[in-house]
Amino acid sequence: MAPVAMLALVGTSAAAGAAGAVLGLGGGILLVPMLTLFYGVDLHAAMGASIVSVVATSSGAAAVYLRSGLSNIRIGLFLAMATVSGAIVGAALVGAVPDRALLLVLGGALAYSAVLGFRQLHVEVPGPPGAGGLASRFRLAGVYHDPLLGSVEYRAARVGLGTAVMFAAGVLSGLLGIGSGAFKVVAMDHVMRLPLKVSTATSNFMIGITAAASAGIYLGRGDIQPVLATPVAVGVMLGAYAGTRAMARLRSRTIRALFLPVLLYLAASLILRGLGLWPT
Amino acid sequence: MTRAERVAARVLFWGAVLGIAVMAAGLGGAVLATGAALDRAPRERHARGLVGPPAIAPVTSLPHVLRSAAHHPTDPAAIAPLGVLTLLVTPIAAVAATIPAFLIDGDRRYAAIATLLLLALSASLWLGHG
Repeated sequence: MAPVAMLALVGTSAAAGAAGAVLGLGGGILLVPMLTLFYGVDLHAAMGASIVSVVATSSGAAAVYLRSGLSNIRIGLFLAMATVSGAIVGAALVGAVPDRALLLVLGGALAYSAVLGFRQLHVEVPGPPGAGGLASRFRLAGVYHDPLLGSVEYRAARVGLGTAVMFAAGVLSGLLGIGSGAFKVVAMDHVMRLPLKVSTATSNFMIGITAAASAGIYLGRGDIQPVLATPVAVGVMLGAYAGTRAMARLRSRTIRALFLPVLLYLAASLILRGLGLWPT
Repeated sequence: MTRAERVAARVLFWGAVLGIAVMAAGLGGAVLATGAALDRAPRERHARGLVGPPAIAPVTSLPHVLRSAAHHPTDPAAIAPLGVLTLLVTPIAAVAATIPAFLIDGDRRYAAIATLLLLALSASLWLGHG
């Protein structure tokens, strides 16, 4: 790879890292098509670079979000248990369950979430926090300072359902090897009714953990190539840092407006894959 | 900010910085050593009579990476994979670091959750290699 191409790759990876840090996604959704279409990189190598980019985005962004109080470590660890357990179950079920049915169900769930997202487009923070049993027992609550709204107090709702969605997302990751950052944000934002900024910031903490868990698959296949992964990681880390600075100043409605097209794209891709109409 | 959040934030930040710095040093060293862009490296290295991996090899396993990095004289191409592994284990190290932090704060419930998560991550990594 020529030095100029490497610098261009650092720049485009920075854009993916910034978007990932703001939206709580790994950046793979942007990075994999970019690497394969514009840089002619083999799909497996692009996915290997994507795993490295997810860990770099997560580490860079979550370090800042944990310090600022936007990432909730208790919620992150509690839900990561469900996602990682789901990924283990999913890996064990490869070939035993109909992938297509699962894709259709989860694609439909994301499409429904996108509809809910449009209806909540102007909601800055959810209503007053409730007093749920599991949320109280596991102290799934917190407070953060928003430059636009002041001090925002929150508490998780419907913890059981949120955990089930996380488990299902983990099963999907284990079965199909796809990331699940969007599911994490949806489960926290729509199901558990956490503020969107807390949802994306906590998702940033969690995606690194789940990506590291699946790194063994990519390492074993030799898909992680340092020549590609290094400029991607440098760019993504710089972008993630810029993204964290921007996110604190953005309104939730702006973040939601940026997140919805990603959600619709993912829903469409899952449904089309379930119907066998998505190019592979 | 709780002790666990402070510790996790530190591990995540410094793990990522260290991993990426080692990756960049290895890649930069490999470019300087070959004196050419890396896609031309195999030809350049062959012309210079260099032995070892023709360019930076894919990262496959910890023993392979450690063996390559320990080889004397050190090939810069073998250093970058060490950085990749450092970066990839950073989130797992952050989870591990929260366990004593929760215990010091008397939060046994979350120390147990973090421990269970660490065990699940280990099982997942093992299954991934299997």
